[in-house]
Amino acid sequence: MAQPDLYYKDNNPSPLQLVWYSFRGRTAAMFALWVLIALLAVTLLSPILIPYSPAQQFSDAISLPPSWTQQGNIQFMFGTDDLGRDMLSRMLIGSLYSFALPLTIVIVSSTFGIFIGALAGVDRNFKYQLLGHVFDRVLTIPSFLLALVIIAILGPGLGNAIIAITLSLIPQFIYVTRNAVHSEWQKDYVTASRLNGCSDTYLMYRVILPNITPALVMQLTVALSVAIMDIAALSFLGLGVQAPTPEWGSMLSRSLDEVYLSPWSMVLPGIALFITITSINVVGDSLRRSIKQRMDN
Amino acid sequence: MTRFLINRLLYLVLAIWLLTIFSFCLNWLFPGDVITNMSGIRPLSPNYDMAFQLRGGDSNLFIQYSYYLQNLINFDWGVSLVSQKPVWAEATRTFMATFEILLLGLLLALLTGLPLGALAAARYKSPVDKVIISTAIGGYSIPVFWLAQLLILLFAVKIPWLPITGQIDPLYLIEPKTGSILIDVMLSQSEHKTDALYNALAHMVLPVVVLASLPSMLLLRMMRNTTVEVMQKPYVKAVRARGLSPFRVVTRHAVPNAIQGIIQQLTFIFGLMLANSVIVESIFNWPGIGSWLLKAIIERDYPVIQAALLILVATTLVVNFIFDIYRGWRFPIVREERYGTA
Repeated sequence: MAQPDLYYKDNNPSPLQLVWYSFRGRTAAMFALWVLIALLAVTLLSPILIPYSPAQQFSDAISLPPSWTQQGNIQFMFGTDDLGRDMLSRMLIGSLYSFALPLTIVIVSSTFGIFIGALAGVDRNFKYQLLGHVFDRVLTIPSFLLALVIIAILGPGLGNAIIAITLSLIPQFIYVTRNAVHSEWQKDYVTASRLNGCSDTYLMYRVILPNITPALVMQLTVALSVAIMDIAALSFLGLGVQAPTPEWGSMLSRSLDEVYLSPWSMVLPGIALFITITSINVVGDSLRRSIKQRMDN
Repeated sequence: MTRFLINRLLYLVLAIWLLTIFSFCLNWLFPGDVITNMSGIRPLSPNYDMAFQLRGGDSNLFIQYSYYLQNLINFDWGVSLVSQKPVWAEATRTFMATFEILLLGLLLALLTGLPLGALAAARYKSPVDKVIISTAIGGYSIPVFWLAQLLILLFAVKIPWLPITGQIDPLYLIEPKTGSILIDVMLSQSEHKTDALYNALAHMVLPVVVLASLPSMLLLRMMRNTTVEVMQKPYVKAVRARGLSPFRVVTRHAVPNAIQGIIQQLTFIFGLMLANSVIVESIFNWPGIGSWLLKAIIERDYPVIQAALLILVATTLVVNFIFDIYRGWRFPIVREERYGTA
């Protein structure tokens, strides 16, 4: 058959693209993804969007209910807390600590974890064995407990909480990458590339990496939801973000004593946290199903 | 089996030994005097010289470590820097209190998560399955502390049914002996034993439910996924072809085979519950090991931090060992994978 386009080339989508095609068809997953994108936009724009400073106190509007209730005032859309601070501003600035910060933490720890995991996956001698056994044990300790151990040594505070969560997430990335590399290594296409004389570096970046990217992206979503939960939990316990700084977890812990007086100060940050984590989990779960679908075909 | 047991036991001992070394190193990582960090006795106290001798203060690190190990095994874990009470007695009491709600929570999670998961798998891709599975995704996205607050708002503030703080009403005058409140009530000589028992149970409801919610959702999802996978296996098809009722196929053939994968995950779930118990205990003022550790971290009470961390991590390791052994004993295929022989 005559080919009208001289430069026609068969387009082979990468594994990640294939997963994306399947992911795109899922309504709930796409909805959750758009929620996350909107959340990210709001988070990044929050310093511009806030109507008041999050620390400014309005002495004439203490514990004001949200604007959609009878006593509400449209000046304070989400109401005010017990010190008369605007809830909307606090929640917007809080998203920087509750969403943008975990995102950064996950990016940093994934960089380290994936690098070490790839090294451990390629190197299959004694070191690999030992690392494997050590990590199998470390992984039985959940990341929150690990973060708590590190906090116990370093002492409470936002900086220490960031270090603790970053360190506690690294083992999972190492484990997932190592296992993924290890299982790909035994497949025929890798053997073929090795017979072709590819160097280890080429093998890693051009042959194996594209095939394990979907699994790594899924691990990223898992780690992100864990990181958000952990930083909120640490702040809730008073070990993370400290008092005047608004963060959803620490706002919740503040509301613990006044829940019967101003329930909105507890419900609103909680809903924000819940929506964020649910969206991430829905995206992660759909990714898992898309990957499985691709494997089955 | 013996070989499997010895292998696992060796790993457990090795891990715990590494843990004691780590915990020994903590004394140097913490600021301040090493002997004070170990024993909780301040340098100005008259007992300091004795503690210094007892812990080999002027010998080298190896000798100090051997003294440390000796004290650890003799349950001489020093005293708390804040209250000056012996750490070991406090540790056992708080551990029992935590273990009580952990065990009940795990039981509740298993009793709710597994049947619902099997039900969802039996009705795979039907509305029932979809409802159950979307509830599960929502359910494990709820932060534990928020769920606790919502339940407090609902069951203690709006409808005052349940108490929200402590183990038991202090008016019952129950002496804390073992730490586990149910055992304490049983042991006590109080005249109102049954009332006290009901009161203790009422105090327990909210912490246990909150603690069980996340693991139960996780178990539900795992159970559904593994059962669905098992249902596609040829032997299930064969059983179905023989004309067994769908109920029997699920309960007698699919579920027992799916359980094996679940038991592997139970260690992880237990660890998760242990971590969450820190949060739950601090919300409900449960005098367990989590709230004890939290208080110690805020007060910088080093002997207590050390003991609590040691116990928490050792517990996860031991539980991991127990589930591993059970799996190896109950499902020979696990042993076969490792050694090629049952």
